[in-house]
This record gives sequence, C-alpha cells and structure tokens, in this order.
Amino acid sequence: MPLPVSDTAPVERRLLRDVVYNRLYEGILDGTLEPGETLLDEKLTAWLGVSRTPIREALMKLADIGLVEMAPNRYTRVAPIDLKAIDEAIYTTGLLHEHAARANVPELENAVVTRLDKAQKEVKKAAKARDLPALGRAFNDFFLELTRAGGNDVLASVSDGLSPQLLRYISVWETPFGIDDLPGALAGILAAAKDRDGAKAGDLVKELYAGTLTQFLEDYRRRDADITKTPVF
Amino acid sequence: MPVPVTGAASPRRLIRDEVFLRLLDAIVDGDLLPGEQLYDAEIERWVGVSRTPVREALNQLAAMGLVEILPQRRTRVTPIESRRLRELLTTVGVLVAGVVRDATPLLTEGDRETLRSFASADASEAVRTGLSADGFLGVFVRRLDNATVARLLKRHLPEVQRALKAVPSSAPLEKALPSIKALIDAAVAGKADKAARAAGDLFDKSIVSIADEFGTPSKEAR
Repeated sequence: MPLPVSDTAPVERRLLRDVVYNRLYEGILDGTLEPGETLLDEKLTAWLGVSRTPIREALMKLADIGLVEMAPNRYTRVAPIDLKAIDEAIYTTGLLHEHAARANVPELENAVVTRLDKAQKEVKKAAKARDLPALGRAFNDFFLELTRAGGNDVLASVSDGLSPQLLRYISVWETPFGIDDLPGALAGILAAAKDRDGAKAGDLVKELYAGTLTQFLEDYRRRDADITKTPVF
Repeated sequence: MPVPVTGAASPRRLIRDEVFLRLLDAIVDGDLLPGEQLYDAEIERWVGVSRTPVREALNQLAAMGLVEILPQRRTRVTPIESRRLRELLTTVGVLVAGVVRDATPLLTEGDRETLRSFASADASEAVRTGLSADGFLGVFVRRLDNATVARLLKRHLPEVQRALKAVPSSAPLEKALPSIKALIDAAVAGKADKAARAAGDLFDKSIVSIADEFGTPSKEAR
C-alpha cells in the first residue's frame, strides 16, 4: 500500500523500478509470462537490461499484489491462477466498490460521469467483440473512476491493489459475472450515477458482486473444523 | 496474496520476522514515537542482527504505512496524520462491516458464546482488543474464512491500533462502546444487516472522530 512518500526514491532508480514493474505487470496480465512460470533474476536482468536491485524491488511490489510468489531461497514465480484467491479478491473489491458508489455518487462531478459513460460504452463494445482484455480494462476503469471520485486515497489504493486479481479473473472467465450481463449492469449503475442516487448505485453494485460470496460459500470456504485448525486470522 | 510458507522457514526469514515483530510492537505501542528517526545501526544493535534483515523488516513496515523510507536520506516512523487516518478508518470500517454482515449467518454456537463473553469496562481497551484477532473482529474474520480480507486487515489494523493507543482523549472511544454492544447483540441474534450497520456506526460515528485529535503535517515535517 502506498506511503505518502513512497515516490521519493532517487529519480533514476524509481523510474527503473517502475519501468520493470510495468513490463512485468503487463507481461503477467497478458499471459506473456505464464501462470506458475519461474522468474530467474539472471533471465530478467538479461531480458530487461537492468540490474538486480530494481528487479528485486519490482518483484516485491508484484508479490504484494499477488501476481508473483516469492519463497526465499526457493523460488520466485508468476503466481498460478488461483480461483479461490480471485474470488476472495473480487468479493473484497465489491465491498469497497459498493461503499464508493454509496458515498461518492451523490456528489459526483459531471466530468466523472462523462468518464463513467465512456468506460461503460467500452465495456459494451468489448463484450460484443468478445475482447476479454479490453473488457477487463474498461470494467476496471469504470470502478477506478467511481472509487477515486471520493478522494479517499487509502480506499482507492486498497482497491487498486486488488484489481490485478479482477483482471486475471476476466482472463479465465468463469462465473459469477456473465460477459453479456456486464454492460447492462454497468448501464444501471451509470443511470443511478447520473441521477446522483447513491443508495440505488450502491444496491446495484452490491447486486453485481453478490455472486462472488455465493460462489465462495459454495466452492471455496472450508469446513468449520478446518477453519478452527488453521484460521486465516 | 500470501506467499505460501509451506515447509521449513529459512533461518533468514525467521530473523527478519523477529526484527519485524519487535519493530511492529514498538511502533504500535508507541515506544517508537510517530515521526521518530530510525537508524539502521541502532536497530542492528538493539535486535542484534545484520543490516539485510533490518532493511527487509523496514520495507515490510513501510508497505504497512508504519515507516517512511526516503532512500539516502532518512527512515522514520510515519507521523500520525489526521487526513490519512480518517481515510484509513473509513476503509477498514468498510471491510469490517462487510465481514460482520457476511460472517453473521455462519457463526457457530461457540462463536456466539465467545462474542457474548466480550465485555470490558475500559473503553480504550475494549475497542483495541475488539478490533484485533483476540476480539470480536477475530471471531467474524475467522468464521468468514476469506484469506484476502484477513490479509488486508492484518496489514492495516496495526496502523489503526497505533492511533487508538496514541489518541490523547478517550472520549471518542467511550462513544464506541454502545456500537460494539449493538454489533454483538445483533450478530448473536443472527441479524446480519443490523450487525453490519452497527459496525458501520462504530467507525463512521465514533472511531473516525479520533482523527480530529491528530494534526495535519506541516511543510517542514515532510
């Protein structure tokens, strides 16, 4: 999660780290780097033409958002696609997005509504073309706008930190959202946003994400005995 | 997502975790004050370890918002700043209310028993313990079994805990007690939405006001 001063590393090093981070991030999300693939420092230094330090820093940041797994002295690899982790992350995203809708929609600026409108149209276009990466990006943009509108940087960054899981999910595409349901669902939220109806927008966001909890309870949540044996908290 | 820690942890990992936990406790408890400068050499001597695990632990604390690292300049305990604290409390409150809502239908008889047993005369302690793995929050987070929410709460609660400990006046926390009671009563009665509303109130109407007790950073301090 970002610190207020996280971007004050010396410029060159920061840029290198960010460049490496972005290349790896894109590579993982578009599948160039495959789920489970081992990431060797030497290969990455050769590929990206930078030294070990910015690569390690970028990898740690990627581990932080769940795209990379690092086991010290054992391996560093692209996190395998983990449907349970994806479901959990989307559920969590849903809580934050529902709050953002309720809290931010009543005071939404026209410029934000315009951008929501644009993102919704992109979602519709991408769904029609079955262009899943574009659909993921547009869906993500829609909620990024809604979340950032409230000016709560902590909430926006926690939500941002979960979005790669959402994007990866769209790449494997299973329930609970259907591709064809998304444009309509976002159109409803957009209409509520245009009316500045926060309660309505919040209810619709909640409804959109409700399937993730149902799926979690059906497929992923452990039995009470196991929960007691190895609690998550 | 948590890195799997299956198998034996390496010795280096254990040392880093030890440094991390020592520093974490010291920051949360206020032994290391908000804004206090941290020197690698002092920490190395204090904990008796080398520079690498110290830097790794500091990076981990930086990712949690508890430490600020300005490379080649300084490392310090993050000051408590009113705006960030308010945003943090709102965010944590959203997660807590969601977990309470969705874990309430899953509670076992044992959980309800545990929840009923939580009562404390001291408001500050009740809120601090309540919002930890040992308190009411722990019961809901464990029962929901969503590891991602659990990880986010583990990451952000220490910053909340530090502010609860550092707050100069306990008045906002006195106001929190009725919300905690309402939350527990509703959850024990199986009323998920009511319990979630009480969790929302706990943050929005009482705890969030502790942010007013802290200042905004001066230009000089940054």
